[in-house]
Amino acid sequence: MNLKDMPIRQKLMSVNLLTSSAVLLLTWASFIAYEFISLHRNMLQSYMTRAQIIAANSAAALAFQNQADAANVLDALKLDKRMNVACLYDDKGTVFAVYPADAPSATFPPAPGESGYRDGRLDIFEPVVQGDRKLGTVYLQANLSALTDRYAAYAWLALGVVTASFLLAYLLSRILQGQISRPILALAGTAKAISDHQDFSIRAEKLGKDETGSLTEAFNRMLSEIQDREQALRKSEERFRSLIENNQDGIAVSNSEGEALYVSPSLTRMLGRVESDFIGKSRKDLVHPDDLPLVADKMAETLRNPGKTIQARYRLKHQDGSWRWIDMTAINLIDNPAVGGIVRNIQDITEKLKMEEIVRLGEAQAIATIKDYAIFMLDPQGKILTWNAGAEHIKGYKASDIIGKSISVFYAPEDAAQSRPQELLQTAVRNGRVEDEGWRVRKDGSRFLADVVITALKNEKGELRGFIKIARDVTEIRKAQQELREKTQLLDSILRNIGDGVVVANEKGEFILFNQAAEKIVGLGPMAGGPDQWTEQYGVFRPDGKTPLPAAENPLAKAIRGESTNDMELVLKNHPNPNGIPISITGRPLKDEKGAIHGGVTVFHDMTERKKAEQAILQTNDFLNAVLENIPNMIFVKDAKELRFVNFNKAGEDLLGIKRGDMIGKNDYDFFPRGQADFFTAKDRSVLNEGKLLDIPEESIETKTLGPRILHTRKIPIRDKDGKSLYLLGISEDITEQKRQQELRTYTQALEVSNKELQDFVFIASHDLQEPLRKIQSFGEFLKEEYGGKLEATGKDYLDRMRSAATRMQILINDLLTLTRVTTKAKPFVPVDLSVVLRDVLSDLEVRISEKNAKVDVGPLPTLEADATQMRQLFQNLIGNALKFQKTGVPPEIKVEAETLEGSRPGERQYNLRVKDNGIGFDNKYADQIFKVFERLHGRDEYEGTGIGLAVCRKVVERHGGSISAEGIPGQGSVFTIVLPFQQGLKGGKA
Amino acid sequence: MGLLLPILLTAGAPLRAEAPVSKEYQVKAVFLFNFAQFVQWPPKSFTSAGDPFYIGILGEDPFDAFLDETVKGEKVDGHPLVIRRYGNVEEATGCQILFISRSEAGRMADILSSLKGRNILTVADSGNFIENGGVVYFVTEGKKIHFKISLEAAKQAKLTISSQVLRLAQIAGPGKE
Repeated sequence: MNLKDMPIRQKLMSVNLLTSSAVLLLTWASFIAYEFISLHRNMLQSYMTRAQIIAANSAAALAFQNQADAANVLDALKLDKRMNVACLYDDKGTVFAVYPADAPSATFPPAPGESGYRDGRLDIFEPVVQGDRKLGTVYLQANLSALTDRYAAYAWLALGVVTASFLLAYLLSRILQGQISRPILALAGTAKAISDHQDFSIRAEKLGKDETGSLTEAFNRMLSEIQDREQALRKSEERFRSLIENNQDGIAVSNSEGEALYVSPSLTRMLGRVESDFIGKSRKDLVHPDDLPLVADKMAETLRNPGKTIQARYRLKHQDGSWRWIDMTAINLIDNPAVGGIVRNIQDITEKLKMEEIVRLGEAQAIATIKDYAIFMLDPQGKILTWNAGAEHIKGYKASDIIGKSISVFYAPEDAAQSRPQELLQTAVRNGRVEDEGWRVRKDGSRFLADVVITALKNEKGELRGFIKIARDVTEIRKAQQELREKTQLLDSILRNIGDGVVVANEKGEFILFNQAAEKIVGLGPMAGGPDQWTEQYGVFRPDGKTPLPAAENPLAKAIRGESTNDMELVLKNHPNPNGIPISITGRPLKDEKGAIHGGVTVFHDMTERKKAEQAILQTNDFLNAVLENIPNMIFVKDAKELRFVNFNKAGEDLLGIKRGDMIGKNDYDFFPRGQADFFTAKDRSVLNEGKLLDIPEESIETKTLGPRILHTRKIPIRDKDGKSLYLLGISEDITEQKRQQELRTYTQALEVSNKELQDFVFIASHDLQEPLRKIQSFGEFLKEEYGGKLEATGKDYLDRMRSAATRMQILINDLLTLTRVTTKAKPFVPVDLSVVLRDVLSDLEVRISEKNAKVDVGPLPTLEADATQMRQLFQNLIGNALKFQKTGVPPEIKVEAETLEGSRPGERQYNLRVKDNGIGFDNKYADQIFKVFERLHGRDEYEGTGIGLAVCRKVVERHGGSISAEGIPGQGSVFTIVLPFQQGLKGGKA
Repeated sequence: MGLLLPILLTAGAPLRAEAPVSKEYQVKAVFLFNFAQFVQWPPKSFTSAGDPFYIGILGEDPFDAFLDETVKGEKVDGHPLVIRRYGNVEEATGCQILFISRSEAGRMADILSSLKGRNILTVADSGNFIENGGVVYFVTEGKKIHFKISLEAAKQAKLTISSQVLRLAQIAGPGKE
């Protein structure tokens, strides 16, 4: 079979199989060629290598002429089955050793030659070299059985793989060719089905997006188009048929003899007949006998003029025997192959003709009886033919008087002389009609203004048959119109010249009037649009200039609705007036005598200047109010007559705690105790009477929220131009704080002086006291040393007591000095590490600690701003105390610890330092007392000390801006808590 | 076992037809030359690349001119081969191979002891050679000439003998026959 005629499926398969077979064969051919070359090369290489090994191994054997060893070396070749024979030639080319041992000498080449394949075997010659001396040559001969075996294996493998590949290619082609052939076959099947059944609604299935898919799509699109077109054709035919069948007009198609080929149902209905009454019947059976010649004429004309429409009016016989008038339109379409006959359109006009007759009769009657218009006919020469009631009424002639006369009698003699009547008639003939207004004369000779229309009457051929003249008496109308015009002009003039804007609109909202002033103020003229648009068109806003005025509230719109507006304030802000113009506007509805509204009027004027003036006043007021409200002093105003509050500012509200609203209209008696109110009132009256300012440097007042306050008040009378007091103005300054500060300052100063004096006293006293004391001690010492032996026991006792008292006094004075030095010898604050301070303190107290077998536990301590010396003093005293007030027999256990108290700001950070002991403790009611100078809870005999240590502690802590407190449980121990700030702040310590 | 195989001397072409030297010494001369090829001397044996390679004969020369003919124009690793003949052992200390002639067989122990520590391949075919520290000893059995090698002596002289040669030789030590 030719490849061209093969089915697609087989074509694809053949192409695939041929291609894959060709590729496989070529691949295998090149593979085998490659193998052949590489196998040969490899074999040569491998035997060359072997020959080189043997050559290297047999060098000594050759050199020392040892044939046995040489044979031994060659014998190693027996492991290779492909070795045929081998030998060693000596340097003269004589065979020296052979393999196998029994190989006939003829097997070997007589002399060494070239390596290579020859006669189905491989010959290798390799020289044996020692140093640069050639000792002999190795000869190897190998058979090619290995290669042959390989080729056989390759051949079988190639056959197997080619067969398998071919089978695989066949299977894959079988499966994959469907991808191409299936859509094409499906398309072909669809095309066949369509042509077999002529059914264009069948669609091919699209099986992919490739070219076949596109083809299927295009094919389907083509089918859709064919289907659409067919449907359109069918629809158009149906529409056409339905048009004809439902038409009121009858349609008939006949041949050239006039015999009906088709009659429409409407035609049969029109004549109450059936189709068979027409088909093949003569026209004589249907057409009125009188009309037969006309119909025959028209038929002939139609036949003569193909394509031209021919019209005729005649009668056809109805089934019931009556005659129907019809208008017929025929067209010769015999030459048109689609029709092939004469088409007639037949319209029944019987009823229409009857109606027309009635109308004609009615018109004639109407004309005759019309009174307001003179309507009469003239013959072509202008002679009067008819005369109606209106003519008689207007012109005064009776029909009998005037018919047959010329129309010239109606014209004034001067017009008639100038042939005015003839001129008009000629114009009417020329133009078809003429209009004229002019003076005419009545029968009685009086004149009237007539509005006249003359129409020339012509027949179908255009011949003049006469005129119809219609006239009207417009004398009164013209007079009234003239008066109105004058009045309007006057009104216009007024409106133009007044300064206020005036705008009038009718009930539909159309502007009737928009005077010049209105245009000037608004900046815009009348615009179409109506009330709904005005706000936007003219930029009408409420007085704030921001809120657009709702259309319904527009004064003109309200006027049209019948509502009045009085002096409404608005702002016009539009393109010509971008800053806005304030206006005052008044609106009124326009009503006729019966009260019906037929429009509205608005009158408005520009208020810019007035507004500016008002604004200035308001600003001044605002300024004063702002001053009044923001001044920190209480300001009040009372009326002169009853001293009631009329104004009261914010500072006053804050001071008295009374709201302005509660204050106004009331007087002092409503708010203050009677005595106080009397005082205020008396002062007020005196100010008003004397008309002079009164200054009250201090006055007490009881307030609701702030308690008693001291005020510095000025009262001022406010008088009219005649000097009569109208108001009392009061201004009060609250000087309570000022006073308090002043007192505090005085007190502090006194305190400081006294403190200083006290310190000076203590210091001086201590120093001055020490001098005599030292003498007492010294001389007491001398006394004891020099005269101690001479004293009796009692004397010795006295001396000891004296010395002990002196020592105690010395300690006392030193302690007092220490106390004063806390302030007098203060050092500036620097960062101090309390751990270091504690270490020093413990080292100072080391002896006592070990004596008492005490345990001191110090926790982590902070670094803070302090006076290091005083910190040392503080802890020395506290730990010293803890050691001192030990419970009998119990070794002291002391604990020092710190706790951080974070403030909201870094400067507010504080430390809680605690010194705890397990000593004798104390009763908490003495917790404050123990910090006072010379306060002791225990007798001197029990515990030594002056009672100043804790006072020093308190003083140190207070100087650091901290506090110290103590808590104790008798017999169990005590805790001293010191609170110290992290930073000392800018004020520093008190010196 | 290969070492025990007898060495067959080819009956083929004599090296020099007119040579008055016996066939036995012709073969031994060639063997001496071959040893120069198959033995490695320590590098310090030569002071420069072009130094001659000396083959010395101590005592009566059994080779006549045959040995000179054999090595004429030959080189070992670039060193030209030169034959020297010595009357006493003191002169022979500079050579690489020293053949000790039968004439010296009685003084073998003295000669060898004075060569001790020298990098010399001593060769002899008489006397108590191996027992006194000689290296290569030619043994003639009928027509065949083969050799014994003392590995210990070779080691003392710091000589490396090719394994191919060792394969052909009998290995002997001093005090061992």
